[in-house]
Amino acid sequence: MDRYCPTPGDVHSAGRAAATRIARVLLAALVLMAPAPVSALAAGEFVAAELKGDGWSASNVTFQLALTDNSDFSGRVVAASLRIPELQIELRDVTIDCPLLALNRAAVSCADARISLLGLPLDSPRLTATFYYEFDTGATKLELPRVRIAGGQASVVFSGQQNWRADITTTGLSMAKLKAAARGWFAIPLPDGVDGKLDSRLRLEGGDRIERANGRASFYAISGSNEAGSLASENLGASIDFDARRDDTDWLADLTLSESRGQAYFLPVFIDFALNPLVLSASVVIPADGDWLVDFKTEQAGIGAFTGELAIDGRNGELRQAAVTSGRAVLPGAYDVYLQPFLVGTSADSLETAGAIEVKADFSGPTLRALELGLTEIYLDDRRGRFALYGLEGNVNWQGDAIGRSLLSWQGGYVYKIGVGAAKLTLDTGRGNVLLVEPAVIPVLDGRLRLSRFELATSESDLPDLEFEADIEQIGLRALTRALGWPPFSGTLSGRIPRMRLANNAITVAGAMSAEVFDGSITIDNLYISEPFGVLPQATADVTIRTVDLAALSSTFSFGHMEGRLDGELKQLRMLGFSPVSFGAKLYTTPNDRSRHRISQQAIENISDLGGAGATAVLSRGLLRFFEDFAYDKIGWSCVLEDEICSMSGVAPAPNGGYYIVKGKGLPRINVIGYRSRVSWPTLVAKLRNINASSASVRP
Amino acid sequence: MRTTKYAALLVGLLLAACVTINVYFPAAAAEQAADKIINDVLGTEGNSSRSLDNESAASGTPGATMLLRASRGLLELLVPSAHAQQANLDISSPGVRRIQAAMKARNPQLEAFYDSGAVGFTSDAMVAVRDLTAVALKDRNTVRQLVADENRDRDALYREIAIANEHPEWEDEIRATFARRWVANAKPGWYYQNDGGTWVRK
Repeated sequence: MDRYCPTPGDVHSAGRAAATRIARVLLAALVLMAPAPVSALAAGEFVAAELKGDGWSASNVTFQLALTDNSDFSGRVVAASLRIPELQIELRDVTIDCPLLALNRAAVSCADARISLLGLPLDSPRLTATFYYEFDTGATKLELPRVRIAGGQASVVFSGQQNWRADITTTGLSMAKLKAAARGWFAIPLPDGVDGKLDSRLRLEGGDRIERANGRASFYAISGSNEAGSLASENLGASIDFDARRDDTDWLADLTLSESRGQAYFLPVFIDFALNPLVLSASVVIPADGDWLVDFKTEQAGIGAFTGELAIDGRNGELRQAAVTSGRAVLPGAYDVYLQPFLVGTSADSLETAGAIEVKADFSGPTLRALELGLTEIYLDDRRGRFALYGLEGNVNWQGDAIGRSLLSWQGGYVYKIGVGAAKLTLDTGRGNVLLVEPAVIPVLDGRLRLSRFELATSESDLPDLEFEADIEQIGLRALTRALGWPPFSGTLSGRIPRMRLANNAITVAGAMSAEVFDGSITIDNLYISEPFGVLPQATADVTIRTVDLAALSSTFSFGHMEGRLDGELKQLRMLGFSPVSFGAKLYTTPNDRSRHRISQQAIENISDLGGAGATAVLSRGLLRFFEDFAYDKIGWSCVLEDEICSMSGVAPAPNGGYYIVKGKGLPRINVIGYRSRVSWPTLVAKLRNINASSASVRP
Repeated sequence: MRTTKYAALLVGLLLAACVTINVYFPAAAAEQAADKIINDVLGTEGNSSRSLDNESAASGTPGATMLLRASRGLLELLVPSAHAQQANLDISSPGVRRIQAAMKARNPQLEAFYDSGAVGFTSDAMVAVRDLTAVALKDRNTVRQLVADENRDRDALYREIAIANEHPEWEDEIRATFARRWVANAKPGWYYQNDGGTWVRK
C-alpha cells in the first residue's frame, strides 16, 4: 500500500468519508439482519455472493437469524470480505455475532455483539459492540467500548440520525505503534527510535458531512532518539486542544499546544521545556481551495513571545508567506537556547547576554525579506574576555535589497582590555552591506577614534568583510600601555589608521599607519593580525620611529631625564596576543641630530641596570654624584629577540669586548658599556616595569 | 681512479646530506615533540607506546646502518649546527605553551566523552563527535562546544609549532605526525578514525 500523506485539501473528503462510510456500512449490516417483517420471521438464512452499497462492497455474505428460548433472536453476519475503497479498507473474515438481538416493529438492537475481523491494524481481531437502530426515524447508536490498538485502548461511541456525533477516546496508545498502524492511511511525523504515549478524546459531529471536530490530545513520556542523535527527547510531554468547525466551504480551526515537560534536542537546539515551557496557539482558516491562513502566537517562558501570520499552500503544504508582526526575544534565554548553538565555533559562541530585542520580520517563502529589531539595554560580554558591549540600544532596519537606516548606540565596552566609551552610529543597510552614514566618534581609553569609514559586506558563503578608516586622537599612552600589559609609558598618541580590513579572519592594513608621539613619529608598516579573536591572535609588523624628542619622552616616561632625538626600528615584529615574541629592534640617536644631547644620572643608572650586571658606568659613582647630567655623543641599543632571549648590542663596539650603550662627549665624560650579549626578555621587561613603577610612585 | 670514486661518493653524500637537512621534516623529533605535548595534555605521562616504525626503519642491513652512521658522523663534523636544527623541533615557544595549557585544562571535560565513545580522534589530528546518542540530551551542545574549542586549539597548535620553528610549510606534516601520535597515546577503549575514515575502537 502506498504511503499516504495528508495534505490540507484532503481533510474534507477523508474526514467525511471516515465517519459516514463506516456508519453506512454498519447500518446496512443492521438492516440486512432484519430483512423481512419481524412477525413473520422465525428463523432464516440469507446468502449473497456479492453485495454492494454506496461506497462499499462485500462478498460471500451470510445472514443468519434464529429464535432463542426467550422469544428473542440471535443474529449472525459472516462475510469473506468487506471493502471500502475510498478509505483503502479491505476487511477479511468478518463475523458479527449478536447473541441477543432485540427486534420489534420499531427497532433492532444488540447489547453485546461480538465482532471479529482481519485487515485492520488492531492488536486483537475481536471487538465487542452495542448497537441500536430505529426503523422509522433512522436513529442509530453504536458503541465500540474496548478496541485494542497500538498497545493501548480506544473506544468509539456513535449516535445520531440526520445529524450524528462520534466520540472517540484513546488511552495509553504507543505513538510508535500508532505510527506503524496508521501507515498507509496517514503519516505521523515521529522519528524512528522515538516513542511515547497518547491519550486523546475526539468528538466529531456532522450530518451528510462532518461539521465539527474538537478534542484534546495529550502526549507524554516521549523519549528516544533517531539513529544519528540529531533528534531526541527525554520524557517530553505536550498537549494539544483543538476545535475545528465548518463555515460554509471553509474550515476554521483553533488550537493550543502546550509543552511544559521533558527535554528535546533538535540538532543543534536543546530545549528543556520544564525550564522554558512553551505555549503555542493558532487560528487557522482552511478554505476549500487556496492557501491556509494561520494566525499564531507563541510564548516561551524566559525566551520570548512572538505573534504573526503564515500563509501555507493548500496543495503541497509549502510556506508561501510568513510574518512576525510583533515579537520580543529576551536575553539571555533566546541567545542561550536558540542562537548560541548555531554560533559554536565562531567568536560569538561564549557570550554573557542581557536585555531584550523587539522583532518584526517578513518572509517570502522561507527567505527573510525584511527585519526590524529594536534593541533595549543589551549587554554582550565575551566569556573569554575578548570583547564586550554594554548598554546597546537602537534599531536595526534591514529591508533586503532596499536601503534601510539603522541607529545604534552603546554606553561602553572593550576590545581585549582597551576600553571603549559611549558612541552612536548611523548605518545604512542594504544588499548585505552595512555602511556608516556619517563619521562617528568613539571614545577609546582617554582619547578618541574618529571613524570616517565603516563598511561591512556580508555574503552567505564567506565571513563578513569589514573595512574601516579612522583617526586616532589623543589616546594616552599610560592608559594604552596599561591596557596592553606593557611597561607603563606616558604621552599621547595621535595618528591615522588608513584602510584597515578584517576579512578571512585576519586584519590587514593598506598602507602605513602613522602616529605622532613626542614630537616625532611612529610608522607601522605591513601590519597583519591573524585570528584577531581566535585562540592565538598574532600580529606582525615593521615599526619605524623617527626624531622622537627624548626630553618630551623622558619627562613623562619615568626613566630619568634625557635630551636629544631618537630614531629606531622594530623589524619583523611578531606578537602573540599583545606580547612580542620576536623582533629585531634598534634605537639610536638620530643621525646628524644637532639638538642638545644630555642624559641624567638617574637615566644612566637605569640604563646600566637594564644592561644587567654586565653593564657598568665607567666613571666611579663617587665622582658622578657631583653632576646632575652629562653630555653624550650617541645613545644606541639593539635587541634581537628570539626564544625569549634578547641578544643585545649597542651603538658601537667598545674595548674589552663590550659595546657602548651611551657614548659620552666632553668632560666629565661618561660611557655606559654593556658586556652581556644575551639577556632574558621577561627579566628585561620586568625590570623596565619596576623602574617605572618605583619612579612613578616617587614622582608627583 | 679509486680516489676519484671515493671523492665522487663523498661529494655526492655531502650534497645529498645538505639537501636533506634543509628540506626534510624532522620526523623522529616531531614524533617525540608530539608525544611530549600529547602526554602532557592527556595526562598519560609514560604510557605512550613508542611507534614501531620510528627507529626500525633505519635498522635495515648492517651495512646500511653503518653507512648511515658514517654519514651522520661526517655530517656532524661538517655541518654541526644544521644537523642540530634537523634533529630538533622546538615546542617551547610561548604560543605553544599557551595552547598546550588550554588543551590540558580542557582535557578532563573531554575525557569522559572519549571514554564513552561520544568523541573520537580523527585522521586529521582533530576531534569529532562520533556518537551523539552516547551523550545526555542536556550535554550535547556542551560536547559540540568542547569539540569546537579543542579543534580551534589543535589547529592553532600545529600552525604555531610550524611557525615557531620557522617552517610554516611543515604544518601539514606536523598535523600528520600528531594524528598518528594522538591515536598511539589514546587510552584503550577510545575511538579513532582510520585512514579510510572509519571509526575504530582502540
